[in-house]
Amino acid sequence: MEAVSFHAGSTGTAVIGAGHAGIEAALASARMGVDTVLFTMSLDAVGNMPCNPSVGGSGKGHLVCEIDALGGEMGRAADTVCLQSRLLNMGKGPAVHSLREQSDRRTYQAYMKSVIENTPNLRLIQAEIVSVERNGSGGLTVTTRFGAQYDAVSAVVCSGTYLNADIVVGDVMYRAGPDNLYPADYLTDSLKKLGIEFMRFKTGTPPRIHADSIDYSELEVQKGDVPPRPFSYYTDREAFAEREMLPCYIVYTNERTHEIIRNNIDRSPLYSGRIKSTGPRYCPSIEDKVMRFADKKRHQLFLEPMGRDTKEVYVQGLSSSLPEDVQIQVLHSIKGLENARVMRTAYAIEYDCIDPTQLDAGLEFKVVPGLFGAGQFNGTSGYEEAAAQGIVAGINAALRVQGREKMILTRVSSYIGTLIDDLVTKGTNEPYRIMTSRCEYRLLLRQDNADRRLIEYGRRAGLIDDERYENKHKLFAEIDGEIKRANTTFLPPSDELNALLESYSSARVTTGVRLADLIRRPELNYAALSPVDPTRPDLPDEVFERAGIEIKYEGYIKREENEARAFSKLENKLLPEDIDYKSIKGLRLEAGIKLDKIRPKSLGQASRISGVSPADITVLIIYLNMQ
Amino acid sequence: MLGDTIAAISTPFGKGGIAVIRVSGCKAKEICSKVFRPRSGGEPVHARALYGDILAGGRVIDDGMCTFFESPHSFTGEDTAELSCHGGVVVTAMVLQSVIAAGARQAQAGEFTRRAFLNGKLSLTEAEGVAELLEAKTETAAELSSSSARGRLSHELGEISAEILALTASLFAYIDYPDEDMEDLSDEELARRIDALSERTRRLADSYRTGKAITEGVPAMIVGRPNVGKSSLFNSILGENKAIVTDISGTTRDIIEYPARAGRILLRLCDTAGVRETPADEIERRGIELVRQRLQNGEVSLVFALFDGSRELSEDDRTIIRVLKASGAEVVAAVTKSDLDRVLDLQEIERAFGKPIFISHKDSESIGRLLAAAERLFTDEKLNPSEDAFVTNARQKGELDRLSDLFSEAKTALESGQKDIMLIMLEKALTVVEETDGRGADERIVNEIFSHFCVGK
Repeated sequence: MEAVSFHAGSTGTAVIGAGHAGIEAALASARMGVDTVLFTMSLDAVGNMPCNPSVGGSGKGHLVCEIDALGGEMGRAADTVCLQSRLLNMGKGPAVHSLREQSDRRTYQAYMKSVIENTPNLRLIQAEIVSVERNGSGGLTVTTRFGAQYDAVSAVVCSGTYLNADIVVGDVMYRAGPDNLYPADYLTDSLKKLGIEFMRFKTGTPPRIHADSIDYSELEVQKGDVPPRPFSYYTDREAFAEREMLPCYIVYTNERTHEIIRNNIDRSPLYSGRIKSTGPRYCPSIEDKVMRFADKKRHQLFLEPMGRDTKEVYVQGLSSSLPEDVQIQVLHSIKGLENARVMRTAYAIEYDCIDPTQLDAGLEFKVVPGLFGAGQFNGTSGYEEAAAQGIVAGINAALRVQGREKMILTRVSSYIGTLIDDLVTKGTNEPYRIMTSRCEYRLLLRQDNADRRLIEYGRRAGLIDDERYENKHKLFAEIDGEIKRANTTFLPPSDELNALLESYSSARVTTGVRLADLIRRPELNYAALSPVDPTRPDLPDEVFERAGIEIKYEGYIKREENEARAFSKLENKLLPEDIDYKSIKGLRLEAGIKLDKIRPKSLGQASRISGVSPADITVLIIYLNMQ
Repeated sequence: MLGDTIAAISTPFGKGGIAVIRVSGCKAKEICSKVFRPRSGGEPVHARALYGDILAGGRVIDDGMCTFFESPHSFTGEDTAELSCHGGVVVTAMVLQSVIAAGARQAQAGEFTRRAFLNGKLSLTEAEGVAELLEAKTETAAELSSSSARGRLSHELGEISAEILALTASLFAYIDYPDEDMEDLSDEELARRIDALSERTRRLADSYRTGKAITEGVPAMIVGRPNVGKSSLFNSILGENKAIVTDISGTTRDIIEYPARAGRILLRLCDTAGVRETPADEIERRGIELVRQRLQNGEVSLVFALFDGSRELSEDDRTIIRVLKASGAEVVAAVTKSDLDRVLDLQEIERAFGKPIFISHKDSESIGRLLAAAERLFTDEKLNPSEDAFVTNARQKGELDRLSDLFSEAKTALESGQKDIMLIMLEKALTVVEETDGRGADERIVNEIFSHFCVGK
């Protein structure tokens, strides 16, 4: 049943899969001027959101802002179809502020498909890729199920959860990708022939129910922020603020719900042993939550709209692979959902993904030059994580076509860099999710300064046009100017000033005081001081907001910058590619094996590999010096 | 990290006549000017050895050489100072502590070499030297881990670490899962738990004084005018131990120390000219001068000051009181010849040192009371060496002090409403307490979150 193959064309970058990773990869590559082909199993599933209808969240919001700063599409798309926007962790300090938007799922897909269709240098083709092979000209040849062969300089695999995918609901298990789409049955074997090693992960999704079957009368409402904030540079803030937003609702499981689950736990494929693959801890199924946290009296669930013109409602928190009849009992035990009508049944899905330590920090396979991986294929989870890797892989695929040097984002540059470094250095044994706790330089890596941290990378790649580049630099100059002004403006000790200070329970001043010193006081901020600050220029709120953060956190930021510099120094000590770790005297066996497997680029990366101790690093330093 | 200034004793500890303390980093020069005062005055000059005084807290503790090397012409490629002082455990440790107090951080194993390499300065010979040092480190580590005290200390540190981990994990759980149905930690509870950590750490840091007295011993001497009974006391304290002579030599001053037990602690009793009975007043006066010097150098932590009960207070006695009061050393005052009629007026002695202890070399119980008083001065009664955790070396003490600082910074951040900063301080504390290199705590925090919190969509 193998098709007769034929040469169908040549391209710079071939991207396999048009999910969140594939879209960013293909758009970045094409926008850099490189001829790009984007393959998808179904044109109707481009940019699909098979799980929650939302973009962003804690840590994930940072990723979206960074993607936007690099010139990616996700933030813009999410803003365009936004149903609700909330800035999370407002009370915890600017380092952990994170934006989350509810999305209109269908409109998101339509938006993305349209952007792709209208991007020059980019062809969108519906086809299943069944093989990737090295070709004679140093590139790769990808072949479709129908035998069409495309020669490419670079290829990016963004296969999501489609590889050899199985859907599991109770005792029922069948081959299918997300939302019952076709699985990709051939690509894994083809990639294995290239020497790539695979793992098997599992994830799941909750049921969708009909909005009219929900009794909203006594439910807790969760509304978005007023005014809402957008993700993207391109989004007009004023127009965005006027958009009509939709509420979410909160419901809770109860003892009755938990009893139903406990009584049927033997019918759960997770507990019967049918599912053996590794699921994400941060996205546990409801049966997992009930069994593992037996003392918890209730679990919180969110009812999220799937869009403006659909009645489908997503039940966040109720991910499950219990049989359908049990799922219905569970739903009906919940207050407000007594008569809920299920439209999509919750399911678990198992799929093939790679061990990401086979990739380098540019997301290229170390054993297959020109082949890149991004998204769930790399063992991650989440649309944002996927898109973040997608844009990096896409940029690097295109840079390879252009014969230019790779773009590497380090841990000190971004959440994206941290995510990638974690993946390629430490690997993962469960679907990886970004978390603020993983980002040690998070004081420097804030959402508010993502543009400043990454604009030069985007510009060098060719994804930031002149107008945006100049606008941004003007903004940066305004922020710097404002910080300088605050540091050099002295306010005399007037009655007016002291009256204002007292109204904020702030200590009176008896001598002249610098504006910056007042801003630094915990109980004060920029806005509060405006009446006593006559020389304040007329600038956008964003300038004051960002200058305020830089001023308040100046001491801490400086300290972190010192640490970041020290980090970079180790990061810049490159290790030779042909180093034979097993022959180095004094290196402990475990360290030698780990180093040989990961083959770190730098001493810095080597020092982060688990099982490599500071003493091993010293041995390595001595060895290097003796060469 | 490379940003800060590091220091370490770079000669074998407690061996050899001269010890070298190396300081490297951008603050090396500044630290040098705080702990070293050249006799010739002036500023340190590149690659020139200067002779002068080594200071701790402004006091002279030794004399020695200081050689300053300007970046990049040094071993590490950074500004570097090398202080040579008189070898021996006490002085060397004091110099290092003084350098740390002036702003340096204790270097980790191999850290100078790593810096040297990163700055492109390392040669093969030096690399071999480091390999030796690494081996030495392992031996020490093996020795330490074998003791049960070490076990208790690591248990205590483990509990501190577990509490920081629990605290950071809950904070992160709320940050990474803001929509979960969990009760956030209140500011009051956070403050309470950080305070508790702080208190625990401080207690452990304070145990260093006792720990040091037990393991390293307390350098002590007996002082008093001629014929006051120094010799008798010396012999009574040492008893059978007198035959065992430890020669901590190389200090070029021929101090001979005799180890003696004082309850739980170890005394290292110096035999000096000032102690030996000498008939001539002049020699005796020179003896007092010597005592003064030794006190100034910080070579003595405990002094038994003897006063003759059968005679009135003399000018010599008053000089001794003055010198001792100014020295900062701990003093146990004792009145000798308590079996004779007392003529001595105790007022001045009591004012200086509190109630003296009456001793007679014929009464062994009185000697016991004297030693018990000494023990009390160097031990915390609440601490039980066979049950409590103890800190016994300067590095651990330094780390605990750093922990304390981080906890107070966390508390300040909490009070200022900067929870993100508070978290960062707690994470730093975690890496300090776990002695991890770099910031590798993240994976443990993540694990902690998932084992204790039911989170996720």
